[in-house]
Amino acid sequence: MRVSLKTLRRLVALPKSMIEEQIAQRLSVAGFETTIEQGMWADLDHVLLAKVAQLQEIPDHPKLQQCQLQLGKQHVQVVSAASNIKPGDLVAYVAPNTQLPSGQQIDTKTVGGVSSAGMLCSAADLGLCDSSQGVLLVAPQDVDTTLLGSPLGRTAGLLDTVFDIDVTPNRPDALGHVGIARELSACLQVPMLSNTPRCQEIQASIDTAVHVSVQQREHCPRFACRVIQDIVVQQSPLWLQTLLTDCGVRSINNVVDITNWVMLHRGHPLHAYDASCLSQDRQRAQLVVRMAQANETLQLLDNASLELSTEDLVVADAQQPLGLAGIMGGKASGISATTQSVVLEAAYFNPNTIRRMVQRHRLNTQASHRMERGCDPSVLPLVLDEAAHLLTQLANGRVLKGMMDLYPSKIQRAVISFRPSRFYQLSGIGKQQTDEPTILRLLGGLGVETIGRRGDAICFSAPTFRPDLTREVDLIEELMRLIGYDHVPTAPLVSYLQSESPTQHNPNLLSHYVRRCLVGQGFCEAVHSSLGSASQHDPFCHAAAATPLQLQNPLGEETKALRYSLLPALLDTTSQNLKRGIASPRLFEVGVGFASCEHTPLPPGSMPQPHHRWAQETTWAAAIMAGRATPQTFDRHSHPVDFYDIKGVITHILASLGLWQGWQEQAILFRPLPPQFAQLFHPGLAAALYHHSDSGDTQVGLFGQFHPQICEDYDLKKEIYGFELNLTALQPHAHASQHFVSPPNRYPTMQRDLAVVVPESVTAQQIVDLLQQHNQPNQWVQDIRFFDLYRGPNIAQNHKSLGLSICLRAPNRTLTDEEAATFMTTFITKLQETLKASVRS
Amino acid sequence: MSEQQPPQLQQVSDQLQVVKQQAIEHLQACQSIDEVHQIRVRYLGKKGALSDILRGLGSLSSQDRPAAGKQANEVLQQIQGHIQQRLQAMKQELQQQNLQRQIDISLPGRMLPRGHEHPIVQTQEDILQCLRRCGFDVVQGPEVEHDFLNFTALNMPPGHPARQMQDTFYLSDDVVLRTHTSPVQIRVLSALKNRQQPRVQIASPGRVYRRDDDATHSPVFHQVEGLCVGPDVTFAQLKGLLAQLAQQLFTPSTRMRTRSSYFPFTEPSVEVDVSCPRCSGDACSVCKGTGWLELMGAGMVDPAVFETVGIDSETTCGFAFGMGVERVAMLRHGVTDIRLFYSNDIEFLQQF
Repeated sequence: MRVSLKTLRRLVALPKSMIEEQIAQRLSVAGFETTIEQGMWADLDHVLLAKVAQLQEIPDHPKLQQCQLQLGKQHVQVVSAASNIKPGDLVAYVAPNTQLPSGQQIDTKTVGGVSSAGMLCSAADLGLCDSSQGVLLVAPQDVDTTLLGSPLGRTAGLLDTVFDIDVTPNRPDALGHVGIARELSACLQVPMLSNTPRCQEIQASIDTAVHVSVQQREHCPRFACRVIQDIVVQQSPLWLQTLLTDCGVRSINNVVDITNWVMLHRGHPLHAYDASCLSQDRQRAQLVVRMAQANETLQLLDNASLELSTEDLVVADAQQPLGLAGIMGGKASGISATTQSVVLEAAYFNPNTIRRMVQRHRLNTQASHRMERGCDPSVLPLVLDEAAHLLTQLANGRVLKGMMDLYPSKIQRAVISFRPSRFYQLSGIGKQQTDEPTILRLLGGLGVETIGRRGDAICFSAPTFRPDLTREVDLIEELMRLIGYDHVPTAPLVSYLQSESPTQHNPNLLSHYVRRCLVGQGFCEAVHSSLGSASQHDPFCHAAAATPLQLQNPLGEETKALRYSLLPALLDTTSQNLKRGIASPRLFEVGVGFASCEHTPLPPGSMPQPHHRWAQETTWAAAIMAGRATPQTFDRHSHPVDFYDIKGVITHILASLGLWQGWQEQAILFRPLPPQFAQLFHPGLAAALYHHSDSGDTQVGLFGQFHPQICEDYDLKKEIYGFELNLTALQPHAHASQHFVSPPNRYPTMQRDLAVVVPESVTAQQIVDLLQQHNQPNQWVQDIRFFDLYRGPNIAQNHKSLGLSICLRAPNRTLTDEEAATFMTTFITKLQETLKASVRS
Repeated sequence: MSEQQPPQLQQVSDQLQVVKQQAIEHLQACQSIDEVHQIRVRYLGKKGALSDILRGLGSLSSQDRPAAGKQANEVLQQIQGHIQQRLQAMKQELQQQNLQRQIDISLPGRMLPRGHEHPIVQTQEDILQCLRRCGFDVVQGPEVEHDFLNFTALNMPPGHPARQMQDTFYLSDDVVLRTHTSPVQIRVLSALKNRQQPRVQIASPGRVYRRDDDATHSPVFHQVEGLCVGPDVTFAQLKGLLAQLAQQLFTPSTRMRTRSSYFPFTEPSVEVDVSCPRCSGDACSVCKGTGWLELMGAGMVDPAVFETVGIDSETTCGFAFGMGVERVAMLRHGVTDIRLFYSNDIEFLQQF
């Protein structure tokens, strides 16, 4: 909402000393965020007031005139094509070497063989309207004619400051200058200035000219109109065009401008019908407020054609709909250059009705914006009088006597019971800071009247222009707003140590451990949008046999799909970073992935319960690494990242979540990549993670090298490794912070190294399993470490040599060399028997 | 004295002197600690020169034997003393040599790769940390939410003009991507309906979604919301908490101001500004010359919200507040384009 400060000063007795910044600041604090801007004339100081001294025809150029202008003592000559000027007229002149608001450069040039220094401006040239005929004529009474040659904006008093105010949806009353003025009056405790319009009526009565019937009273509680005859449709005077332009509305003609201005001024929309276009009944124009019929259409003022439904409220004549009630008028009865008589409508429509129509037709207008938020039903006579008055002044109109006003049941002021004690309790404001008389005075300033008392409560009635005031808490808010929230005292918060917040697993905590672990391993945390393209996200979703989710109203194709996996975005980012020259990127993200899930629709009117979900939301931890495993230094080389590096990263995470018991039997199992993921990962260089439990194994993650095709899709030249872990699935099993530990064992450990040659098909896990079995009776094995893997000379074809180091220690005594030797010998025998292993010496 | 010695004793005595002399000479010629140890074995070992002499003492008369033994013992100790001395000197020399070594200390150290937290997550964790200290429990809710919980239950029935304040992504006619974290309030409170005077203090962080995309708005962003409900919660307490929060998030000298505002689910509603952390209120480019920055929205829980979830609004009141995490992160780190957070450029991330 753009507001003219000059108009505000005419409406409310703002202290002279108060500068615009202070006024804007006060409005902002009161909830109307205000930005200060300058009116249109601030940039038009080069538009000068001039008088046409002499006009002369130019031979062979019948459309052009040579025009002598008087600018104070100076005279200039321009050539003009305007036909609406005569000697003595006051005009707007721009000198050479300046620019018009459109950016058009003005120079001295020769037109029709005559030198022309500068130009006479039309209203359109100055940005006052879209198109205008002839040059702008300035009315002598609007300016000081002794100041020819001075800037027109200053001489005509058109300079203004504009407040651009953000009005929240609960305050329809502030969508007009009067409403903002009322706010300032209440906040600053200064009086409003009288501004009741009076319109001069003629003898003839409105009853002879118009007949109105309202068929749907629940949709249209009040409908009022006036009839103005003998009007002359023309351009509005400069001051009105300026006001409208400053307020962001284009000037069209005086009649339309007046209805627009009265709306901007009083906050209530009006509509003007060309009376001659309405159907007549005994020489009376007919207006009906009714529901539209099926298949009716309406051509709007902006030429769009609207299919109406039986839920649309229209204002019609006997034959056809004339306009969509409260939203936009129709073309057929619009004001034209030849309009002589207008029916001026001001109506209060049910805001819900308007809202539904706005949504149905997706039509937002200045009028509907106000109507759907709730206008003031009491203000109708006032806005009609003001508009009628302006029509007499600016369009020579004659106002018929009386006003049609269909208002069968008056809308009452809301009565609110208010307990001062509740106000003190909720706000924390003390009685001594704001006593009851102050409360009454502050609310009184807003038009809230005291009706009486009932026990401890005071009864107030709220003005009809404040539909947002219906409850006690509404008045409490108004009081705190007027006192100023910065004047509310500050109190310490007494914490509820026994808060009844739902006890639940804290997924945040699990994420916290994983993030900490990954950062510790050199990964940079990424945060990606949850939205991406379907082509990017679908392969990952389909591989997991999940159904992807898509937005109904995306911003674009590229942000249409909800991510299932975090890996696609990470691959993309890795590719970008590699291209930017980061040689060994390590990135991770912890976040939610989405898939469709079964949900039963809610029965109408029932409320969703806290456990209800409308999508399957999974918290993932995903990471990607490429390049070298450790940074290259001046004296050491580092190997390229491979499968075992990423496996190490995962193992670290599992350990930090209490899901990794070193070499011992695991709750987490590593298994070959399931075939459905073979499009995403390299089938031989990737694996899946499962959580093992008695009730079955659950897949909780994937890791390994990405499929070469995926790398190509993401324009990744290197071998890329990555993983994703399903934290939601791991959540119930992780015990990151709470588990029991044992004191350190002080007995000495013994290390026994062994190199075994086994067939290629034997896995390290098989050796570990065998050791676990061998360890069963004594529990001497502390750890097993693989320190070597060798193939080549001295090793048989299709065999490999594994070096392992076994650490032995008894829980309660020192082991002897002989015991260790026996343990190893029997283990070697088992290796030979079970795994066809041989020992290398 | 020597003339008084019997000839056999004299012979032993001479042998001892020769051995001692040889040992000392050998020791002086030694180049390494190992050689010194070899000399120890050669002269003092079980099969060494001194042992040979001692074994020969058996042939002496019983009168001479003690004297010879005494002499042999003296020589033994003298040789040992020389060995010790020599060892000491050599160790010192080695240490001296060792201490002569020098390297180029300017060559870079070997570092393991260092990881970095994302500024948004870091900021979100900091906010939650402050709130946890003030007694708030962290509760999360789903991002795909029912229209009813996202809007209607928060006093925004269908068609409410405030719904236009938050342009919404729809998954179906009544399922949306949540536009704020406030539905978590409803989920928590509705679990407590029919409770006499429930007490709740929760903070809910997470992603929220709006159909906006420019330098200061991202369609996906993060919010942290706080809710405190009880029989005697006041606006003054809300102010107290927020002032503390602002000071912990920025600097201890951060000031706060509150402006009236409108949210359908709180009444009264306020916008909270903080003094610009960059210029501490003097006006700079970050605060666009105003000295203040908008930080969050807050207010007292609207009675209509309590009524919707079945809590008596006469006996219970509460406050709620919410802030954009990106906004806080931008203010703290002087980032002006929100899209930088989502670029995940490692060069950017490495600065955190």
